[in-house]
Amino acid sequence: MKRRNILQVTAAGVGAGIAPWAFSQGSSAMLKPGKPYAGTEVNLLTVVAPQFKAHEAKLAEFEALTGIKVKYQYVPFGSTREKLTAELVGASAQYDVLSAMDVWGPSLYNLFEPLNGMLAEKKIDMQARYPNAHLRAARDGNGNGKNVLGFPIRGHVQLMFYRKDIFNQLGLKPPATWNDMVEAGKLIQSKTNLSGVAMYYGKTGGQNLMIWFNYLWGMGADLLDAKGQPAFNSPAGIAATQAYMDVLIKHKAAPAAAASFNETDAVNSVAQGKSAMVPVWWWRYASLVDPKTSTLKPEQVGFAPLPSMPGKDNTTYTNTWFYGINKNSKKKAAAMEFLTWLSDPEIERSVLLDKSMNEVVAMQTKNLLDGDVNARYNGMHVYGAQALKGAKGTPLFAQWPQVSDVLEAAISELASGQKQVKPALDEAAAKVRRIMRA
Amino acid sequence: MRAESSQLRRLPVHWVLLAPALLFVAAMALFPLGYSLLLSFREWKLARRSSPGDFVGFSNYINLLTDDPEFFEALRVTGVFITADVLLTLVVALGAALLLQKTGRLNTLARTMLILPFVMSPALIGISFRFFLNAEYGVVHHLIGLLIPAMKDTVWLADATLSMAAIVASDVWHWAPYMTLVILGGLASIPTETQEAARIDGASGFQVFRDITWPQLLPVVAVVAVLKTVFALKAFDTIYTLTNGGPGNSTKTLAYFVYEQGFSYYDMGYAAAAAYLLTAALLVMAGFYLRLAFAKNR
Amino acid sequence: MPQPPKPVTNKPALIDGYRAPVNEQVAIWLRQMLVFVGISAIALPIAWITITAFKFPRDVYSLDTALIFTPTLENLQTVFDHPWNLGSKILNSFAVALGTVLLAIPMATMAAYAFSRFDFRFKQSIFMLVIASQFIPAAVVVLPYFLLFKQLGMLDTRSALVLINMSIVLPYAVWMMKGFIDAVPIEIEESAMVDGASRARVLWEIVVPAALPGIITAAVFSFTLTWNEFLFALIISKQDALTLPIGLIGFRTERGDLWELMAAGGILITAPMFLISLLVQKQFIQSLTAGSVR
Repeated sequence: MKRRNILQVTAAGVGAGIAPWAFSQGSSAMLKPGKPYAGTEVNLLTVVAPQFKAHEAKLAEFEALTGIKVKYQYVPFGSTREKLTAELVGASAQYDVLSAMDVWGPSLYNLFEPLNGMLAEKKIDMQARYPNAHLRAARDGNGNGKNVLGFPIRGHVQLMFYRKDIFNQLGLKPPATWNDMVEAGKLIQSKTNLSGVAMYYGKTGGQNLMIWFNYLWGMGADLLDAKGQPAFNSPAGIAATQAYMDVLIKHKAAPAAAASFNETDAVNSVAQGKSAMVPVWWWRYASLVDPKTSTLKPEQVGFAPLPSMPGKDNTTYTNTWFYGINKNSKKKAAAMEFLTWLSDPEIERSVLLDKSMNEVVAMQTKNLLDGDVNARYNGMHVYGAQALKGAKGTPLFAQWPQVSDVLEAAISELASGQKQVKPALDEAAAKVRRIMRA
Repeated sequence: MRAESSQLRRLPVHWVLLAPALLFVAAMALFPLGYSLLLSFREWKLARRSSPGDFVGFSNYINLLTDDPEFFEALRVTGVFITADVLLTLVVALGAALLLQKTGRLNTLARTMLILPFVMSPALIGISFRFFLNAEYGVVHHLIGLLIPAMKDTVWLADATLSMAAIVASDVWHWAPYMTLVILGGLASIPTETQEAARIDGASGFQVFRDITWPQLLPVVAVVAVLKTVFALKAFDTIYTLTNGGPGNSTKTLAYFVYEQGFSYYDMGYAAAAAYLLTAALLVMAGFYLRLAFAKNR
Repeated sequence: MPQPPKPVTNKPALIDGYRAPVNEQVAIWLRQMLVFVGISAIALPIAWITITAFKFPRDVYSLDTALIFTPTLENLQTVFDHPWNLGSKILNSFAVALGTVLLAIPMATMAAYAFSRFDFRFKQSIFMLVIASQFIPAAVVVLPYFLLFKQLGMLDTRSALVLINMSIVLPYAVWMMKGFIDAVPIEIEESAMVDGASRARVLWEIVVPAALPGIITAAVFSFTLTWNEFLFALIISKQDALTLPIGLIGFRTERGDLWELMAAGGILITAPMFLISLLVQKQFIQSLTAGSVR
């Protein structure tokens, strides 16, 4: 079709600021012709994030294409789970499209309508579109089921952000192993007044587990064994946790305040020029280079893959949100039209290339490998695609929220020096055993 | 003093006065009391079903009391928190009320400001205190470091005791000024003639307070104490935003525990059981305070 | 005819003999110092939060920019924009809080009077049950309320929030006011009734004015409780009944706590509350300094 060719040419030629009409032409081919749902209102439950605000800004086009009015109902990030729980219980259909995050546990997945039928109808191949690490989080059956419950919309890869200028000044290379990171940190602390690496051991929504998992898996240990019993207090798990805590406790390569930091505090520590490194989600890049939120200039901020254990590959832990359709909704077909349109790779791409933002979140394989996106972000996304191949995501089982709480409490206790690693992990394992029994 | 009021008491008018309030309270408020009691005897895992499930007898309670170390930890934390919080609030509020009783420009300014901490959102207070105590850029952290050099590098929120101190401080900051107003109101309702007369007779300020003011103030103080205890037991937003129950579980109170069981672990039957144990404790406490409140009316 | 009320002042009593002026002065000075410390303890955090409202995010996270920074009005603007929309949330909060207080306080006053002045069967138990209804943490009952209002078709309405907040507020209002009414001597009412006044007149003309500080206190308390109520508002509302606390908590994002926006929202919220209480203070202080009941 002629329209498709124009799309390809434009996409290949233009670097930044894709014209809006370019993607709407492509995706409109997947929407039902003749505006069958014109006049319907679709309510979407979501949180405030620059990515979602960018989507919302494009809704006028969708309405022009289909006559469907989509309303973004923003809910506080920390309260989304409560709203979803109320919906689970009350079945009120206040919202037609819902968003859920994998760390809240697959218990909430009972809210979502399986999409396989509708996806087949629209000929959308989810496996081709999305890396498995993300798609898994949108499946039933604890990630292994047959039904797809939603479109992964926001998902992350971890990176090591560091002060390029200081590293250059001191002749350092981005750390390849966790040991390198500690050594680099100590050197930086001796030669400058910055702290080495801003770790975050404070207790906030499981954040202090996100890097810990990399240590754990890097050492060959795991959260649970094949029988579903705690395995993190195995000798390898204890060694991994000890190494994770030692960054602060033994080597003091992190600021003392890291014991109470959450992820945001750690990022701010770097943004304010107080620390030189921070291992965190790729989307934090925006906070580090925006002059309103950071004292750093873009040329001072470098990023590299997360360090690994010596001799092992780089790892990453991923985290995924998806948009799905409320089982109780009376407007499922209209909602599907919306999600079809929204998940068009071109929309994600245009947000990635939008120069007024520094939005790096990309879910779809096509965009991860896209030339222009990688040109803009120095190859971050190709690395992301690579990392996602071997990535492990949030453990998906019903008791995960409770297990996560036990573990993050243990880590924060270890950081405050209240306990030693082995007793703390053994105690946590006992608690987890109890939880898994229930 | 009331013996001869039997005439007044015979009238059934009190039902007319009580009825609107009581009916409404019964309908909207006893409903949760009754409902959650029933709920605590059933199993309701939100993920598996959208309405309360089978009757399981006392098993929720039994699990709580025998198989959940975190429940007892939460009880302990709550005990510490309440004691510190209520005592400190009472002392501060009483002291401030006595100080601010008299006229004067400074006192008037102070009285005007008393309402401010109370009208601030508890979540805002929790977050603000968290920022104040941040070890890298917190203003309170630095001020205290200046005053007490030994504490220059303490990471407040990584220390169990200091975190507890922080949540108590934030709750006292939120409530004590308001309770001061309440006690001021109580002081104002006490006729001054007896106090003045005693003064003229040579009694010292302290004696006047102890023998005349305090007994009449007791009902108000009792109410303040009960109210503060109830709110301390329900305190959630400040703790959630300040410490998240951490480090470890050292600031996870019973209210936090109940919330978590319900909305994080999706086990509402269990949460209801924990909530009811909390309620039972509160009822015992309230009964004790009630004796004070009703006793003073002889 | 009642005597003019005697103001209670700071001046020392000279009637009972000569007192060493130094002691007295030190005592007064000490009192003033304490009051000053108290004012600072309240004012300083609030001042700090207010300053934060005018900072860019990067200046919030550093002590170097604590007092010297580039101020901005952007935060105050942003909180009213999409998606925060604080303006409509403020209006909703006002409506719900006002409605709750106007309905609950008269009810509570009557109930408190009854509990205070009358004896009846099970009085203590009923009184206990009234307050016991508030012992249950909100988390346990919010879902049943959600289902109830869904049945009634009242989800996302301010009326639902008023009803819920009334049920929250009434127990406390009744309890507080009972204490105040208890402190009012019963003799005046008795003599008035002996003189032929009806119970209603006694209530309206004698008890209410005497317990006015208490009523105002309870009203302010109820208003504030409703103003800051979060969980029920979150669960019941969707877009029409969103209140301020939801707006404030909304500033806790994935990026972390946006303290500068919270502070801006916070001062916008606290300022009207402060003004209301200033107006109410006039009445309040009058009652305080005018002494007691005549």
